[in-house]
Amino acid sequence: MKTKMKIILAAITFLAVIGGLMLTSIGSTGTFYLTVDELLVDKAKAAGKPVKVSGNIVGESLKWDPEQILLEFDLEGENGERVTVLYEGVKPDTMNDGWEAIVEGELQEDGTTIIATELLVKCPSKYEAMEENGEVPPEGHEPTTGQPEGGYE
Amino acid sequence: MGDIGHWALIFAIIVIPYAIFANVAAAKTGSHKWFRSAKYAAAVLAGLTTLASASLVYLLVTSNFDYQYVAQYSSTDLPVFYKVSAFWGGNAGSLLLWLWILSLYTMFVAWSTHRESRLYLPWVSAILLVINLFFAFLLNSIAQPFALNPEQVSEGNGLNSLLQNPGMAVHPVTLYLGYIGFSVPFAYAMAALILKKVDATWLKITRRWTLLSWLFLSIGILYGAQWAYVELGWGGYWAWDPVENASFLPWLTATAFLHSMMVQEKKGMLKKWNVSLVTITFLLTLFGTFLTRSGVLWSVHSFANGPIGSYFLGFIGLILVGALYLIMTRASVLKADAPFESAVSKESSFLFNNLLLVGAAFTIFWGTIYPVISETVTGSKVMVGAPYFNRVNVPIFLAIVIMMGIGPILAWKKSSLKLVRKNLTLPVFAALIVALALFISGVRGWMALSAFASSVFVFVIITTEFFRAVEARKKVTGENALRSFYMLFVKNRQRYGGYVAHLGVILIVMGFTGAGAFSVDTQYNVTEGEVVMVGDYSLMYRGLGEYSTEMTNVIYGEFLVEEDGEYLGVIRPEKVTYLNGNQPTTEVSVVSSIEEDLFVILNGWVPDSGNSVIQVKIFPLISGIWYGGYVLILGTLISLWPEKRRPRKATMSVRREMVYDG
Repeated sequence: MKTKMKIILAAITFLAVIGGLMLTSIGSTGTFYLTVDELLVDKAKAAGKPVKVSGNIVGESLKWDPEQILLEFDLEGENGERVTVLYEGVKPDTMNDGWEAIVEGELQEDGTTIIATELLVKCPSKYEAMEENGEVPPEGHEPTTGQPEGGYE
Repeated sequence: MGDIGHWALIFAIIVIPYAIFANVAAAKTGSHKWFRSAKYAAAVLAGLTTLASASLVYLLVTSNFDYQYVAQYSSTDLPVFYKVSAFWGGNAGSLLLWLWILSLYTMFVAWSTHRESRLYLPWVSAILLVINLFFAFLLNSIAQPFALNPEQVSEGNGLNSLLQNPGMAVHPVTLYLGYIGFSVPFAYAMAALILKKVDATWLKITRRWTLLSWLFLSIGILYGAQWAYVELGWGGYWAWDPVENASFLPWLTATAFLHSMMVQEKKGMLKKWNVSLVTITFLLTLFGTFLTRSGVLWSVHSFANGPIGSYFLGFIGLILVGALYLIMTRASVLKADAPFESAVSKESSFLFNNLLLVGAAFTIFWGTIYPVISETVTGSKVMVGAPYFNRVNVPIFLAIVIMMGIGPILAWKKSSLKLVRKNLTLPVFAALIVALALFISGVRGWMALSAFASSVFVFVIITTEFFRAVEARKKVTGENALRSFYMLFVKNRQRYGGYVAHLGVILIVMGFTGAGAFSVDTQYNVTEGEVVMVGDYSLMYRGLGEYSTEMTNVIYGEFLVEEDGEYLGVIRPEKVTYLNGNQPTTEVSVVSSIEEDLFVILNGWVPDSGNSVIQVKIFPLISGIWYGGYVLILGTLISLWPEKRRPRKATMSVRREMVYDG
């Protein structure tokens, strides 16, 4: 019995450490995931906090400055609300009008600009749905990442 | 040809229920007729799916755009190799690949003979056939590969250009071979439960299946990482995205299973645990397929959006309930043959390594589905990314690495603490020296320091193990050192192959640590003639160039590369645009050496000035990931290699020998 107790105690310690690691990390690394519309409703609350925001790329607003390596574009919500994204990084190959993008960053105090640290363009989910319904989606709509972090740090 | 495939799938879904019925009848009545009939049914099924697959490949190669799948994933201008690989480029095709491989495995199992095969096989086949039935159902209902195209087209969409890479063409197949392979040990485990036979027979029969599937899964994951690294154009190899996690989860639980099954084989313990682990692994392979099929892929936004997702969830639920029912009702026969004798023993070290691996899998699973959980509980979606996964898993993986060192020096049943302490002295000392040396040379991150130190710790222990075993053998047999070393692998493949695999893991850990902790990432806007210095390298920019092929237009920047003043060569990172309107791709230039990779990306250019915007990265030690992968494969192959058949008496003594030294 003594041996069994020892092993159980050790196992509990292991699991408690893993659980503790999980809980503390989720609290400090989790970011809220919102659509542009939801973000603008909670402007005051969201400002200054890390958020992930999804919306559709407005093609005509796209400005890419290769000298500064600075990408600027608007994201549009379902209701037509817009927010400007400033992304210091490389323009992904898939910045097409109307495609869904997810940016991670901070909403500035003015409530209209997000300084983004991560950019992810995904193919609009309606295409995926179309595909599953057996329809032909537009060409080359595979998702591509912008500059995700390189894994292990 | 398409009609043949279409009808083959329809016949398949008729044959499967019959085969299940015949197997159950064979199990219940013991009738040899039913058993034989079931065996032939499995062969017929494999024939039908082979026919369906061949017909789809034929349609793809001949570019028959009357069929929707062909129009969607192929085009006339593709090389034949990629036309064939379009087979698994889309939903319906990859599900057909699943069914094809699974039915081949099923036939292989149904026709095999082993100890007590007459008892096991009807149930094993029946369970495998139920899984076949699910995929055949999908292929006949919502994911039909042979659906006709509603409109007439003369050209197909073509395969995504990112997927036009030899590695990427093979990657899904290796992953699938691994994924699907786990259904065999799962089926055996369930059959053992149904039969209330819970000795280690099912583990012994399926050991090779498990190892081989695990090997394919490992290769698939490594291939994927390498593909992302060279092809996606940003130098990432592991980003903790849901799909990567989906392949990593069954790998972790299968790794745990590979270790804990040894405890049951040798000591008759951990029976319930093993049955649960193999079930979880199988469910995770389904979950992985579900994640990639359901659109959870890049965003949790479309969770279970498509109908396929819900079918998969339903099937996963069904299997889970069935397996749980069997495990619960058989709980009393799943008792261990013997209790743990000591907390410090090989079996307990296996138990803790299992806790760590399964714990890691759980934290990754939780992080992956956290957006769904948080939305259900609090109403707002919270996502976690790489920072969460790294913070939680780096410590767990470090502990796993340390366990890899401690495990080999512990004895079965009970280890004397004194001996353990004695065996630990040298490796701990070596690890501390290395940590100190690194610290003095300026390395500060605790993660990197402990990763290198624990790698050295394991390395010293494993080499000492080899050294000791060779010495002992030399003394007993009088062979020379080389021959003794070779004979170790002949005599105990499982153990020494395992050690080699562990050395591979250590190399991979060092690769990840080096590339993660010490990577350099800089961006420049360069004018013609300008020299950029990064690390030991200097890059001289020679200007932009342009060339065209039939399908593409390529712009490249040209650089002369020198390392420490020594001329290495010219590199030309490219941006490729496709004339058929496919999205442009970025072709990076990588200068590889054992110590590090120089990674150059052409991000863009400034119009009218000839200036380039480039990104230069250095990944120290990253080759360790790939070389470690090869060592891992080698070690697994050693473990897998069949033992020579020996007369019965000899086998007995070998078994005894294994108990003593294993």
